[in-house]
This record gives sequence, C-alpha cells and structure tokens, in this order.
Amino acid sequence: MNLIGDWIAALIFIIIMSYLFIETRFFKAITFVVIGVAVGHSAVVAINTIVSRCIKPIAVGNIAPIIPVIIGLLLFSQFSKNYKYLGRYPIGMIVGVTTGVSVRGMVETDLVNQIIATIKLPVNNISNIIFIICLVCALSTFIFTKKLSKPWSYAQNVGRCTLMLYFGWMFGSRFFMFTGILIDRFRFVLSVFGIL
Amino acid sequence: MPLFKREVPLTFISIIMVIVIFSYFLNIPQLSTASSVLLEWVTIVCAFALFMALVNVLVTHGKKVIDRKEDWYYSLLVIVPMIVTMAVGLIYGIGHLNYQWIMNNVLFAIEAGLSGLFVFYTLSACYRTFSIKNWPSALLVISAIVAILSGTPTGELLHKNFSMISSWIESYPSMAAARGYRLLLTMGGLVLGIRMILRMEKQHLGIVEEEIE
Amino acid sequence: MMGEEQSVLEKLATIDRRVLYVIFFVVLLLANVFKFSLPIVVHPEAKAVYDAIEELHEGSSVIYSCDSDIGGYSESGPPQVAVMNHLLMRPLKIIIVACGEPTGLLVALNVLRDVDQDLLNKKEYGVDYVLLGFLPGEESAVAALASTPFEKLFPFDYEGNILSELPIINEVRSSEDISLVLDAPYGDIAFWMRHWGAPLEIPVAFLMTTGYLPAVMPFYQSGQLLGMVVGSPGGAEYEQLIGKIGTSLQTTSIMSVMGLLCIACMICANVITFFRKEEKNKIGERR
Repeated sequence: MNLIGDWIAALIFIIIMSYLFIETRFFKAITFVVIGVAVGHSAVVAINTIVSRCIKPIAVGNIAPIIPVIIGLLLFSQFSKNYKYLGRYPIGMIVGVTTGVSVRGMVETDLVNQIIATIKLPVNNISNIIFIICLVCALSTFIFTKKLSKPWSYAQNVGRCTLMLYFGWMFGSRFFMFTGILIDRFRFVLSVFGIL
Repeated sequence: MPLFKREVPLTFISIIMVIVIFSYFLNIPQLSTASSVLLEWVTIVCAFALFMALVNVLVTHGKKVIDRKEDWYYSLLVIVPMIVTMAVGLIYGIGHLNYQWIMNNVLFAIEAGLSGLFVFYTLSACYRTFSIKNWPSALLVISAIVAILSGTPTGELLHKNFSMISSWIESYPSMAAARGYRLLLTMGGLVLGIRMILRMEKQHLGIVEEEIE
Repeated sequence: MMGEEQSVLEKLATIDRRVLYVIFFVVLLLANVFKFSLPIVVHPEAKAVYDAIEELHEGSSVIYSCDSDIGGYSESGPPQVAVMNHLLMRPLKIIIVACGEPTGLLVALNVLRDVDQDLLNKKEYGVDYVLLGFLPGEESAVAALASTPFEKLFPFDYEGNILSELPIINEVRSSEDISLVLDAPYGDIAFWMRHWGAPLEIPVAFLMTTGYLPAVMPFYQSGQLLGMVVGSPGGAEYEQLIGKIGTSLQTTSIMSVMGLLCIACMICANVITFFRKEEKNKIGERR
C-alpha cells in the first residue's frame, strides 16, 4: 500500500512539473482533485467538531450548544430566495467576533508594543538613528501616496529605498520557502525511482 | 422586512464587537462572561461555515455534472475525491492509516508540487526581469542577494564578516520597513473595526445601498 | 564579429523558458545526487527557543499549535519535528492543538509520525501528551483557548477519547497551567502573541517557514516573541543543538546551491541587459 502511495505521489509530482513544459489534461485534473480532497478534509473536521461539541452534548441532555447550532444552521438559508438574509446573522457573528478579537489584540501587540520598542531604542547608536529615520520615511511613503514637493519628497525617496530593501529581503525568504518544499519533494521522487 | 435584512444584522455585529472589545479593557465580570460565551459559540458556527464549503462545492459542481455543462467531468473529479475522503475520514477516523494515506499521497503531494512550481517561475523571472534600472531596483536586487546568501551557510563561507553585514541590513533598514508596514496594517485594521462598530461597513454582509426590499 | 555578439546576446536574452527549466532541473538533480553538507551556524533566535525549553521545570506544560498548511510541511516540518524531539526528551506535558488551517491537524499527525519513535514510545498518550484536535475560528479559536478551559472546547480528543478521562487534563486544564507556547503559524499571523503572549504573559515561540521571517522579525526585535526556528535551516540548527541530525542539513545545503543559482540568474540578467545597452548605444552612435 505504501509503495502504491509513493508511486502515486511521485507521478503527481511529475505531472505537476510537466506543466512547466506543456499544459496537459492530467495537470488540470489534478487541480480539481486537490479541491475535492481539501474540501473533503475540511468537511470531516467540521463534522467531527459539530458531533463532539453539539450533537453528543445535546443527546445527553446538555442544551447549551442549541443556540450556536441554530445560528450555524441559518447559514443554509442562502439557498432560499426569500430567507437568504438570515445568513447574515451567522456571518455577522463570525465577522464580529473575529474582528473584535483582532482589534483588541492588535492594539497592544501590533501597535503599542511596536511603538514602545521603537521609542526605547537608544539614540547614541548611529544604526538606531538610521532605523528611526527609515521607519518615519517608510511610513510617509505609505501614507502620502501622492508625490510631495521638496524637501518632503526626499523622505519619500528614502522610504521607497527602505521598502525596496524590505521587498528584496522578503523575496529571498519566500524563494527559500518554496525551494525547501521543492527540494524535499524532488528528493522523495528520486528515492522512489531508486536514484537516491 | 428591511429591519431584519439590514439594520438588525449590522446592529448585531456592533453589539458583538463592543462586548468582545470592551470585555478585554474593562474589568466587568458580566462582559467577560458574555465574551467567553461568544468565543465558544463562534467556534461552533465556524464549524458550520466549514461544512458549508462542502455544500457549496456539491451544489456548484453537482449542477455542472447534472446539466452536462462544458468540462463537466472535471467537476466529477472534485465530487468523487471529496466523497471518498469524507467517507474514509468519517468511517475510519482522521488518525487512521487509510485516511493518512489519502492525505499524504494526494493532498500533500499536490499542494507541495504546486508550491514547487513557483521556484522555476521565480528563477525564470530572475533571469529575465531582475535587471537594475535605477537606485530602488538596485537596492531590491542587492537586498535579495544578501537575503539569499544569509539564509544559508553560503554567506559565512564567502566572507567571515558577511553575517555582520546581512544582519545589519535585516535588523535596521529592512526591519524599519517591516515595522512601518505592520503599524499601518494595524491602523487600517483598527479603522475597519471602528467602521464596523459604527455600522458603516456593509460589504461583508452582501448589503448593497440599492437593496430591494 | 559584432553581428555574432548581437545574435548571441539576443539569443541569451530571449532564450526559451523551457531551456532554463531544464538547466534548473539538472542543477537540482546534481545537487541532490552529489551529497554534501555545509557547516551550520546556530542563530540566537533558535538558541533562545532551545534555552527556553531546557529551562522549563519538570512537569511544566507546553501548548504546541500546528496552524500551518500541509502543503508547506516540507519546509515547516523540520523545525517542528526537531523541537518536538526536544520536548519529548524533557519531562514535560504537551498539549497539541490546531487552530489555523484544518490541515494543521494533519501536520500535527505527520510531526508525531516523523519524530524519534523511541522517544515517543517512552511517553504515554493521554498522560504526557495529547492531541486535542482542530478548533475552527483561527484567531477566535486562539482567543477562546486563552479564556476557556480546554475540556469545554474539546470534550473529546481527535480520536474520540473523552478528554475528562485522560489524566493529563487534570494537570493542564486551561491557559493558566501553560508555561510556553510553541506556534507553527500560517503566514505572519500574530494570534498567539496577541491573546496569550501580551495579556497572559506566556512566552511565545514560532516554528515557521522561511517565507514569513521578515514580517515576524519586528516582534522578535521588540521582545514579544521569545524566539524562532525558521524553515529547514532552522531545523538543521535545532537538530545540531539537540544532537539529533536529520535531513534538514542536506536540504539546507541544497538550498544554498539553489540560492546561488538564483543569484547567477540575477547576475546574468544584468550582464545581458548591460551589454545589450552598450550594443544599442554603439549602433546609435554609428547612425
């Protein structure tokens, strides 16, 4: 069974890599299969959650999950023309809670602590001074999207250069992320074919 | 009933957000309890939303198969693996070897393979387009080269001070841009949150201004 | 002579991409076949995670969240496996959850499959470690875990065992009992830092792919993030620290070759552009 699985995985890799040279029906088929399997897995996980958190407790008399179950079932109203608007309640709940939780967490972690970390930098170090200048210039580039007149345009130019350094760093990091994935799969395929 | 179609959902979101946000900053036990209950409930509602993905895919692709639309057989390639995966997952369980076999030899293989394609596209793009035309593009290329050399042991082998140079670039100018980006992203998120509390954001609920009652 | 140079330059500039792909494949094949390994330097970020786990007292509890996608397991897996091996070496209680992607649960199962099985067999499931399962909601799920007892959110573990019957849950009931958070995030998501790190003051460390390192660095620099083990290179560093060398070292070495190939492509692009410009200028001057 493992051997069949390895050969299937190796074949999938070859079909995907063949897309670099020619588009085939097999590649297109694979892009549809992955959707099916991924959605199938999400459904399994969702059903397990619903059964363990809702159905089993309700079956033993614990009615606490009834309200979220009703709200969740309202999602299916989108298939009705007249009652489609009922789906806005569960979506609203998800969006409201997630956004509320994000906002309350962002204030301390992403905003205040980041600003404090910047303010706490000792200014007797030239590198820290460069950091603060680059930060202010990068912020000005983001905020003032229209080109400003001199001397403010110098800040935008410095900001643009700072952003280019960041994008180059991001590019290098992202390249390595995909390279790591490719190397592992390539090594796997070579081992299936007995080359490694 | 425009009230229940539009006003009530928007108010519902505002109330939920106020409870969740203020429970964090104010020490009111009732608010904390309400917030904890909402967080518990939303994990259940999200499970239903995940299940909706299955229903949506079945309806969309099922219609294509039944109506024999163009390339309907590709829709079969969505539905059949989906049903097989679900059947194996629900009968045997997620931890079972059969389910793991499907996940590792199909899902993981395809997703990893598709990710691996990007490497070739990136290398090809580097060859064709990464030419230096002005100062910003020069900095982009230099920074990319420094990031690539510092990400692996190659940089250390090239020059003993390389790690010092690369960590300076990463810790000061690049980090400044990263922090600036993060700060602005946060401020945008906060503005969005305030707009949602004030009922000014409607797109996520599919409410359009000229909605017919 | 000038005509030949022009045609060579033009040919190089407009070379068919499939020829380039074949060259890239050959380089990748040769790098895999001719095995070599480069010396690894341990970065302070990875060392910080190692020290944090080493300094945990006996019986301390760690929550390990697999939020990453299965597609990136090749890159995010090695640091997770290395750190899990370290956790299994120590007398700790490990709670494993998945809060981000549904496939995070599969990542967790793959990590448990790929760790040293001798170490894993010395631990008892339900006593020393437990895999709770997937909790939908992403950030809401992480926030819910921070404020709710685990038993309420996970009445059963991923296999269907009743959680209250597992001994580990008597010792690790909620976030109050957790000493360290290890998160394998999907992207640069700061969920655990926002809801566990800042309000509960529990140290958070990331086990992540290389791609999101630049976006996460500001948190490390500000002290909000304890440390990071990043991608295959990070996995190789961590393997060196714990003394269990795996495949990360070879992957990192091959990544170096691919990195040099990328740099070579960039240099070629600039050299070709430069000489083409020179040629065009010379042709312009002659006219």
